[in-house]
Amino acid sequence: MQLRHSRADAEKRLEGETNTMDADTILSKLNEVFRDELDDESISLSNATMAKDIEGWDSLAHVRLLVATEVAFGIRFGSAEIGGLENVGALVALIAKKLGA
Amino acid sequence: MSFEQARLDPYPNLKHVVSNLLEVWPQHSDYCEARFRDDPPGFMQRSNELAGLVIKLSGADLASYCGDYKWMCEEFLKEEFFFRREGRYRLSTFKEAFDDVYNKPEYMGRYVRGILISQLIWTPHARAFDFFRTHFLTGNAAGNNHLEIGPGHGLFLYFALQDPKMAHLEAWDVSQSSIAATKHALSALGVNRQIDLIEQDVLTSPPKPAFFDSAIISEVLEHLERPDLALQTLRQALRPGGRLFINVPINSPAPDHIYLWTTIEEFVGFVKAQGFEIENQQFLPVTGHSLERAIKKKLSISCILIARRPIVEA
Repeated sequence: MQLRHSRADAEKRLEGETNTMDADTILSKLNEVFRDELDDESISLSNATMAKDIEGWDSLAHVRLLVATEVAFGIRFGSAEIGGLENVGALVALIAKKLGA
Repeated sequence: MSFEQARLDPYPNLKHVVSNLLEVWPQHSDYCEARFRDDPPGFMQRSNELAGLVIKLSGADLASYCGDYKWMCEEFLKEEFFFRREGRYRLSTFKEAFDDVYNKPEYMGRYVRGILISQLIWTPHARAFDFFRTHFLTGNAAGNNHLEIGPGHGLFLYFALQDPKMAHLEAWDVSQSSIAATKHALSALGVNRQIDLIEQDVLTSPPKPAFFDSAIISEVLEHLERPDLALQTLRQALRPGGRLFINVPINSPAPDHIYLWTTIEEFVGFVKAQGFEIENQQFLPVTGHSLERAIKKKLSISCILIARRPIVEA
């Protein structure tokens, strides 16, 4: 089964870039994750984007988006961290914090 | 997008349940919009009948049932996280499920109440009832002997006994407390017809081989370590040519799901490997998604098969 994403591969891809990733780069990369997971090339995230703004971003999709984000950035969210995310900007900030940027 | 409850005006039972649910959980509005968006009137009408049964079963506690449904959905999301990260269900043995879920009365109580509401609110659950009524029961002949495995809330049994062709109705469960709960539910639904509720394990040989003309096992196989044995028991319990309604969700993590199928083909092949022919099938994606997308993204799909014990077995 190919469901499980390869964290090791993701971490390898990120080698050398994590410490220099700024918020704009994170947002751009996150945009690709959302487009891929939600199958929607028209998605254009901003820091103000909320779940209600994106068709298909329901609670189940939220889980898939976060796990795909973990893989893409080579990070792992704690359960307490993901409950209170207000918008994409908060997610970008959390990713930046995880990356130590 | 939010759900316009006026759409449900022609379906008062449905509207009553949904309005109670949205009062408890207003954020579920978009989900309800997706759930009822494309339902044709006939299905809505039958869903309204189902809602009437849910109202009877929940009695004066509908709001608390809706609260338990919300809680259950949150529990399911935790399992979804594990599943998406690890590619497997969190539990893999019956003992783990027993220790984590079945042996915890308070947890089980909330879970069972939440599941009752989901029968109406989750598209695959509601459509499974509909397929049972419109495609399975209609295929029965007069003098039909019917068996259900794990009758739970009694809703499938209720619909089965509406069929005038039923001669004998029987249901098996491994737990006395579950049997007592089913008896209580049937009583609340106003059922006074004789139904044999028996403590019997589907993993052991059937007491009456080749006796039943029809059987149903809905949302049970994924709770077993050896679903192959359960299907083999059911094949033996059915007469040659007897029909079996199977409902199993794949890629569908839950607190007590232990057996994972990841594709439709894998599951259909599994059923055929236990000696069944397939008469009819329906694959129902999770609410708000097309089947194509559910397959691509490995989302939950309820696989509903009407299988048949071959008249001449290999």
